[in-house]
Order: sequence, then C-alpha cells, then structure tokens
Amino acid sequence: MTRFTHLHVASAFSAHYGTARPEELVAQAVTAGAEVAGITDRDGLYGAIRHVRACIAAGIAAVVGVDLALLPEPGTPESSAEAPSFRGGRVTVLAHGHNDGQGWAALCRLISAAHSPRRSTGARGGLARPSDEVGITKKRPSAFLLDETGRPLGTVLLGPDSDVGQAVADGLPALARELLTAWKKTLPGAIAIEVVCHLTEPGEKGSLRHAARMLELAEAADVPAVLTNAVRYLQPDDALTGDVLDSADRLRPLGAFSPQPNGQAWLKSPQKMRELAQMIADHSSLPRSAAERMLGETERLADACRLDADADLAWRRPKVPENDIIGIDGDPAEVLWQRTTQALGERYGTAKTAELDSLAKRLRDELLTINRFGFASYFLTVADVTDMIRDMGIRNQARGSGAGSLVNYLLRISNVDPARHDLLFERFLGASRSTLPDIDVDVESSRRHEIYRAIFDRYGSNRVSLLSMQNTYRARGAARDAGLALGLDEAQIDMVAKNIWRFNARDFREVLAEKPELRPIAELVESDAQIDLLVDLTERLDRLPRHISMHPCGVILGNSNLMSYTPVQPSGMGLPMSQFDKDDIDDIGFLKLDVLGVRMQSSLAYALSEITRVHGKRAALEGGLPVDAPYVNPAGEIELDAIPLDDEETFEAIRTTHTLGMFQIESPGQRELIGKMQPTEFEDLIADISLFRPGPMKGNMVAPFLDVKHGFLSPNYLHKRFRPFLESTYGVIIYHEQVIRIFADCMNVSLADGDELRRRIEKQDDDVEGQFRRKTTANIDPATGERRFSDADVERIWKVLKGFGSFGFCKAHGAAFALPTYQSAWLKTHYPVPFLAGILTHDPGMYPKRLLLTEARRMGVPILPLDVSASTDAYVVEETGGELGIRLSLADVHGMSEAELARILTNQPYEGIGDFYQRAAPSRSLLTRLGAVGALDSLAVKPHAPTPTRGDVMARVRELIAIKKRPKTTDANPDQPMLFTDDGEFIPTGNPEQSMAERVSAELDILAMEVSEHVLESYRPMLDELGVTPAEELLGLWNGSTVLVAGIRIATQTPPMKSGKRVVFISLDDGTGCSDSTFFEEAQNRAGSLLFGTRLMVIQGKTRRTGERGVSLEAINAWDLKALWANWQATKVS
Amino acid sequence: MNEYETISVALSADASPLRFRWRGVVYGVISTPELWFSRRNWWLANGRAPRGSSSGGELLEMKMWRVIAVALADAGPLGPLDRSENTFDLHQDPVTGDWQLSSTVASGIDQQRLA
Repeated sequence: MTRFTHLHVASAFSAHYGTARPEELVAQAVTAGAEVAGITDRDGLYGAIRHVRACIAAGIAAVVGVDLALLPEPGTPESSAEAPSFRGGRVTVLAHGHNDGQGWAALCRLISAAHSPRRSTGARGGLARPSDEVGITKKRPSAFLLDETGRPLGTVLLGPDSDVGQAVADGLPALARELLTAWKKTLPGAIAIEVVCHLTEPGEKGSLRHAARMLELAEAADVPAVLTNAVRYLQPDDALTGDVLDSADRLRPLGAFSPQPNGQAWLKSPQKMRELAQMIADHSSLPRSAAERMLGETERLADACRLDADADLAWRRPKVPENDIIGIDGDPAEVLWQRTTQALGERYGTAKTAELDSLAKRLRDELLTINRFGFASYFLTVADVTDMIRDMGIRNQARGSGAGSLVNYLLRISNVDPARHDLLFERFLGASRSTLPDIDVDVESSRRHEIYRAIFDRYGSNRVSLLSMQNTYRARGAARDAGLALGLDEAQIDMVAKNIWRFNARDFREVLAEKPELRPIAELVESDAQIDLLVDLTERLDRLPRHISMHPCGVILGNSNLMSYTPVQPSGMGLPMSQFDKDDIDDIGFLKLDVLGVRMQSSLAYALSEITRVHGKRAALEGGLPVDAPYVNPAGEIELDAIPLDDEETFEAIRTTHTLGMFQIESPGQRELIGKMQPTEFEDLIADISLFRPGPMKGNMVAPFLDVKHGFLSPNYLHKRFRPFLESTYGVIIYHEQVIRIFADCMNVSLADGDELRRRIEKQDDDVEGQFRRKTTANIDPATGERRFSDADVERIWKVLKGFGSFGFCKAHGAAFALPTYQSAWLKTHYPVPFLAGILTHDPGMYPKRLLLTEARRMGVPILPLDVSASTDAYVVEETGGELGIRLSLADVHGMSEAELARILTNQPYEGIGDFYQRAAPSRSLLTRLGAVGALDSLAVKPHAPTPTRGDVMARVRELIAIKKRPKTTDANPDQPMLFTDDGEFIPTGNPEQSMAERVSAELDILAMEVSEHVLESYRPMLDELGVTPAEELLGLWNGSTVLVAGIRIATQTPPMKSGKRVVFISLDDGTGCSDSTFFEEAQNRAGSLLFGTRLMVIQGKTRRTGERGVSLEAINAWDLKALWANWQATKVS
Repeated sequence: MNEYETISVALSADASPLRFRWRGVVYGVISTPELWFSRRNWWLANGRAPRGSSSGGELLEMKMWRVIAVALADAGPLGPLDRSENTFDLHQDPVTGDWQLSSTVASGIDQQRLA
C-alpha cells in the first residue's frame, strides 16, 4: 500500500473544532496502511497521550505536535499599502523524536509559554489569557526548537493560515518570500512549507492554485514542502458537525459568520492524497516530479518526528519528587521501613504479641511488594502531603482501596484500621501493577484551595500542577449549542434543554418516542422542522469535548522535570494546570493525588469547633459522653477519628431512619435500606454502603443478607473454611476482598494472585474456570493427604464466583466511606444542634437547605431568625431560653454581594435601621429583602413600647430608600440626623402585620428556605379537605391503603432496575417527614410532564411496607399542588 | 448572478466540461477546468441531518468546475456577441444529474445577456 502520513490532524480534543477521537483517527489511519500517525490539536496536547497510546496499541509510530495561533508582535505598526500588517494566523509545530525527549520537552515548554500571560500585557498575574491571546509570536519558537548546538528539536509548518500562506493568498509573492526568508533565518532547518489543498474556490486559501503557489514558493526558496490535509474530521459527514462546532465557538448562529469553505478537511486515504499532490504539481509551473518530492519530504519529516515512547516520553515510568524534596535522607525503602515499624507500636500499642507478630509479617509483605515496584518514595510523598494537611489543622481521610494498606494506616494516610476490618493490601497494590496506584484523600471542601497552594509552595511549581478534565457535551449543553447554531429563540431552546438530561444525547430521537415527560418535545418535533433538525444536531454533538477545566480534586506531583513532560496552562484559580487529564496520568507516569474537597468533612470540622466554642470543658457532659472519655480533651476538643465505633445510641438513631444529614445514608433509597437492615454495628454500615449500588440491588444480594441478619435463615458459608471471612456479611459475598480470599484459599495461591483472578473473572475471562477447577481439585491437605474441596464443593463454589461477576465492591472503599457516615451519625446523636449548624453551613448532602431546617424543626431545635446585628456568614449555635438554637446565616440571602456581606459583618452591631443602612451600605433592594425576612426586626424595637410589626419595619425601609442620596459615613449631613443614630423613634406605627403566607413566600424567595413555618401550611385548608395523610403517619397504616400525600419535592431518582424498565422515585417533604413514591410505567404516563418539573405535588398511591421501619407508596396518580389550589380557591369563591 | 440556470454540457474524456450551451449560445472551454468545492447552507434546506446523512459530503458541498470559456457562435437574432474570455462555474446536481451554471465571475457578460 502507498504510504502517506497525515501530519496535521486535529482531534475532538481541539475543542469546538475537531470532531473525531484520537483513537478513531488512528484506527482509520491504520486501516489505510499507515506506519506513522500524527496529532496536532489546537493550543495543546489535550489528545496527545491518547494518540500515543492508540499508536502503541496499533503497533505504529506516533507523531505529536500542536496547532498554535501566531500572534502579531507587540507593537506591530498598522498596515501600510505595500505591506499589509499581519492579521494573525496559525502555524503547526511538530516535535522531533528519538532525541531523549528533547523534542517533546521543547513542544511542552513552547505550549506552556503560549498559554502563560504575555509579558507585554503585564499585570494580569497568573490568570488565564483570554483564548484569543493564546499563541506565540514568530520570534518565540526559536528559543525552544533549537538545542544549544543549533540542532532542530522540532519543525514549524507554515501552512495556508501562516503569515507566508496569507501573503501568497493575497497575491503578494514578494512579501511571501520575504516572510519565508525571515523564518528560515530564525529557525534554520526547523521549518517546512505546509501545502494544503481543500479544493476551495480558485484563488482562496486552500485552493488548488494557492497550494500550487505554495509549492512553487518552497521550491524557489529551497525549503522542504510537505503535504497535509489540515484534518479536522474523520469522514465527509462530520463536516456538518464541524459547522455546528464553529457556531458554538463563535457564539453566532449558522449563517451569521463566515463558515468553513467546504467539507474537505477529512482524513483522506493515501491514494486520495497522492492524487491531490499530483493535481497540485500539475497546476504549478513545476515538473510533475514536484509531487513525488513533496510526498517524499512529508514522509521524511514524519520519520524525523517519530516518537520513541520509552526514550522520549519515559512512558509509564514513575516520575516522583526527589528525596530531598520530601525530606528524606538516604534510601527511601529504608526510610519507609523505619517509619512504618516505629508507627506499628504507636498505632497498635495495646495489641497482644501474637497480633503484633501477624501485623509485623503483614507489614513486611507490603513493604516487599512496594519496594519491588520501587514505590517507596511514592508512599513517602503521599505521607508528606497528608502530614502537611494535618499540620494545617485540616481534616482528611483516605478513600478507596488505599485504605486496605497497613503501610497507609501506619503513615496516617488512612484512618481505617485494615487489620480490624479485614481489608487487603493486595486489592490496592497487586502483583501485576506497574503504574503508580491511586491514593485519594478527602479533605474539608472549604479549605481545598488552601491545600493546593500549600502543595505548590512545598514542592515548587516546577514539580506540581493541577490535573485538568475535559468537559464534554451532554444532552442539555448539546441541545443549547445546536439551538444556538440554528438560531432558534431562547425560549424554545430553553424548553427543550430544560427537559432533557437523563439520557445520552446520542439517543435523543430514540428516547423521544419512549418517555412520557418528553411528549411536548416529541410533538414539537413532529410539527416543526427546525426542532426536528435540532434533534439530529444534538445527537451529533454528544460527548464531544467542550472545554478543559480544573479537575475537582487532582493534583499532579512529579520531579523537577515535570514541565518537560506536560504543557501547563493557567487554571480558574490561577495555579498552573496540566493539559493532561486523569486518563493520561498513568501513561505519562506522574503521581496523581486526589485531594477531594468533601463538604461533609467541612461540616464535621465546623460542628466540632462549635461544640468546643459553646460547651468548652462541659463538652463531654453535654454530649452525654462518659466524663473521662479519652477522645475529648479538657478544652472540649473532640478527636473524631478516635471515637468508639460501637456506640449503641448512634446505631439506635440510625435505625430510626431519620438519617437526614448523615453521610451516604440520607437518600430515599438508603433510608429504605437502613429501615430494612436495622444496622447494629460498624461492619453493617460498611455492608450497607457496599450493597447500595445498582449491581447488588439488582442482583438481590440484599435479601439473603437481611434474612440471615434478622435470623430468618441460617447462614450459608459455601464452605466451612470460608466462615472466618464471610461471617461479617452473614455468608453473603459482598466484597472484592472476600472473592480474593476464596480464590486464594481454594487454589492455594497468594492473595495477589487471588486479586489477579478476581480482575480476570470480572472481565469474563473464560480461562479462569479451567484454572480454578484444576488447582482447587489439586488442593491437598498435607496433614491428612485428602483433598480440601470435593467435586461438589468445586461445582458449588464456582457457580457462586461466576454469578458474582461485577457485583463486588472494594471493602476498603466501603470502610473508608463508612467512617464519616458513622462520625456524622455520632455527632447528630450526641450534639444535634452543632451538627445541624455544620450541615446548614456547608450543605454537604443531596437535599436543599430548606429540608435541613425542616429536620431541625422536627427535632425541636429553635431556629433564630436572621438578624443583621447577630447573624454571621455561618449558621451559629446560640443559647436561647436555656436551650441551644441555630441562628440563620447571612450567606444564604439571595443577591447579596461578597462586599455587602463583608461590610455587614465588619460593622456589627447596629443601633437602628438607619444606622445599618448607612454603615453597612447595602443596596436598596438588599435592604428591602433583609427587611422582608425579618433581619431588621431587632433594630426596630423601642424600649417600653409595643414591638413594631413587620409592616412598620417595611414602612421605615421604604422611607429610607426613598431618600435620593444616601449619606456616606463621612458625610456629616445635619439635615438627616435620623440616619446617624438609633432610629427607634422614627419607626412608623400602625402598619398591619405580615400574614404567615406572606412571610413564608418572602422567605422562600429570598432565602430559598422557609423559616416561619413549612411551605405546605399555606395550603392547609385544602389539604385538610382532601384528607391528605401526613408523612409521619404512613408507617401506621395498613399495607395497601390508598392515600393522598402532599409536599415539596426533595428528590427524584431513576435507579437502574432489574427489569430494565424505568422506575421514577419521587420524595416529598411535608414538614412531618418524607414520603417516597414509586412511579411505574402506567403512573408515569398519567403524571406525564409533572414527573420531573413540578415542585409542589399531591400524589395518590398505595402504601407498601418495605421493612420494620420502612414504608413507601406505589403511585397511582399525581397533581400539581398549585394548580389544585387555584381550582379549589375558584370553587370557594363561586 | 446568484440564480442557478440549467444548461447542457458536453464532457471531455476525464468527465470535466468541454462545451456548454447557455441561453442559446454555445461556449467552448479554453482553460484546464479547475475542480473546487463550494458549500451550501444545509440548515436552510428544511430537511434532517442525522449522523451519516452526508457521508459523501452531499449535504454541505457542491462540486464545481471553474472554467474559462468563450462563445463559439453567434446567437442569431440578438446580433454579434462578445467573444472575450469569461470565467464560469459549472455544477452538476448529484441527484438529478442536471448541469447548472452557478456563477459567472466576470459580470460583464451577464449584463450583456440580460440587457
């Protein structure tokens, strides 16, 4: 086959430009017989690692480059007639390979420079350049692309969009020659003319003529000419998608900007490219051989740019901070051994000798594996980071399989005891792993950025970068951009976009026919051709990358050479961010640390600080704890990671299913599971979290677990040898760790091999069965000479293992999750008010804050109104009438700027409303909003006078905002003395009190939560007449009773079901609790568009008992409460 | 002119235009026909555009031949013609197979014919 290498190829990772994934492009190139494949995404290496990976897998060589904007030199004079000034354009830069990574490093550093703020524009600091300023000036590449001896490390392709190409298109051959000479001078041996022929209109850039002139120019100037197709899509069909992307990029509808000239930029076959080369030569003044020469140069350049993944990229080789940076001296393996051995005594001080012996053996095994991979410095680095976080006083907790490592527990990277919970190191770091394992650390969300900055400070910005992530089109965004492209009006786009988000955009048309709530859109599609087209375009955009952003938790650590391996660009928070995403990191060999901000950790930290502040030395007593509890110090500080994990009161509280605010177990589905399970110990919580996933729920692993736990069935351990590790889950296999142990025990292999087998069986590797049968049959007890497993055993065990499939969960993960679950439940039980203040402040859960307030009311916790003199930016625990209440926070007032909030806080307290208006200087509308929710009430109180009504307060507010010019604090204006002092005397009187309904409505509008009473109370007369059942009474009804419930929607879920049919769960809150309704197909059809949109609902359904403390409704029908109310009121009037 | 006018075309061996008849006048191509692809506003076509529906580029592109041609004979009653060289874009509809004259680059001839 004829060879042709595409050297200029934009993948879909050229956001809003390319349409094909690197893997698809490589596959097509390979099919066409390529030996080399190139990728040159716009502005970065976003698709490069995927490209290299695909090339390695296909056994071809990879070429990597970048397509960069060419910016005018700063201070370029305006154009003159003879030399039109350069308008900006683009060039492509390719890295040369087989030079020990110098070419790759040059490319990375050039790209980073293209993104770093321009020196000439000065003071922008670390913030990102606007996208139209990302690029390089002509002078920039020489500093990167030539080594100290002048040898080129890369090649700049001067194509149709370069200054040279534009001069040719403008019919200015002399200028073109001059520009080309200048390039030759700055980059000797490192440039090539890129000939592109897209068969555009004759004379235009990319036309046959233009290509021919470019080729002639190259020949005349003795610069190599290479042929590319400036590829941006895979197939001609994708050109349409390209049009839509162009529209999204320019934020203009199709037709309102100058579009791509045609659809020729696809990955053409070598044959087609050769034909083009010939056509170009034929159109030029050159002999026909010019075509062959151009094709030859193309392949020569391709060969020079072949990357050696190993030598150039150090592919998959770990690159971690140097020893002295993480403060160790000598052999990391030695240091790790010393630290962990010493910690063994600290962590397990009270353990018996036998236990210590087995721990020491486990530690030895773990260290052996770690050192075999050379990962010691990796563990020490992670420990260095978590030590630093702890020293900053920030809560942290390792998550994921890392909790299975004793080394991690000893280094205090994790706080879950792996020995106690039978967690396995082998699940975390098996025998066959060659890349760095993941260790994820959960920290307080509100202090995450603080940690990032500290990591940069500690390791230096040459070793650290944030991880990025590619945001891809989902249904909503795709529909919006497709709508924009078609120029549809805002309302129409909105109507479509708001209703589509529970499926892949790729299936839009298919789904339209199926889902009742999409009926209005389906009808529109029938009647409106534009909407019909919108569906097609939305499908086309699905999953294409849209833009890059900072990964929510990833930090990359490398050695001092990090910037030679990854390009970086400024992130939203200013710190540099790698252009690689999480899927790239393993291959490029960096250490990725997931420092995940978890709001629950912030909530816990806040609750603990409130306990100490409010209770001080009485903390233990107030929490109902033993006065000598070792985890509470005399100052009232609680060491939450040291509380006993068997507190009966806590489990009792969990069993009531009033789990709102408890980490992981507050969702409607979890409440149902908790109600059935009735957990009694920590292991139950691990099981609960591990079971509450689609696989086990579908596979009904829950039922046998519950039946044995509640004593209806006796446990079945499969084999008596398995009892020790199946007992904690009542004989049900839930965890990966259990599967690993079964494999190891049956086949008499190591746990690491067991994990390998587990991974293979999950991939449905048929090979495992034969091995399992052979080895298990051959497993002889040396003491008796008998087989340990009979044929029947082998049969039975294999059946279970096979059926287990992908249902399992990593127990270390479950245990790491269960810890904050238990800790939050413990705090809610012993310190409810500080706990509620914590979750109200940091909002960690799935529910709106208004529901958290409902929960506080249900628990009898007084809610203290918003008060500009007393409220802060957090929910504060305050003593009121001998008990603890919660003061509402100013942070939730709608439309308050940060500056306004800061002013209010600095100037507290206030003597009067006028005083507040003047010193805190809120906007007029903010003053009105604060008045409407009662935040000014306390300022209006006069001594020895009746309390003013809210109406009086609002009258005063209206007086104040009517004054045209508000005096500044410094303006001593004697005409308006009332503004300066206590204005209690100026409060108007006799205005009517606000009604309860008015209050609630204002509170919902301004605070998004009702404070005075539950929102449903406004509808009480109608609800009473309808005979609506309060949620708290459902548990007392007979199974199968038909009832009406009402409430405000707090959750909507569509979990995957065994049958494959969609089921919709809607949870309503009515102030007495939550009712959970299940909508099957028929009820979904009845409810139609109400299913996902309506907030206030009335649902008719049949009660269904789900367990001792569980009840739900099988929905029959649903109504919009507001619509019912309007009808009801109408009938009352007539 | 922007309107397309149907014309009849005689092709050479390589399937590029050789001669064409436009408004009664036969024109002879005197240049090497230059192939190019124009584009159209497919979103105004009132049709759908699902994935794969333009696999030959047909929804977005129009295949054009840019030629230089001269009138080969007089039209008759209208009198003598301008025999100067003019540039034309010819396009064959992929569905109907009809040839169309989609533009004349030099507009002089246009005005002459429509005068």
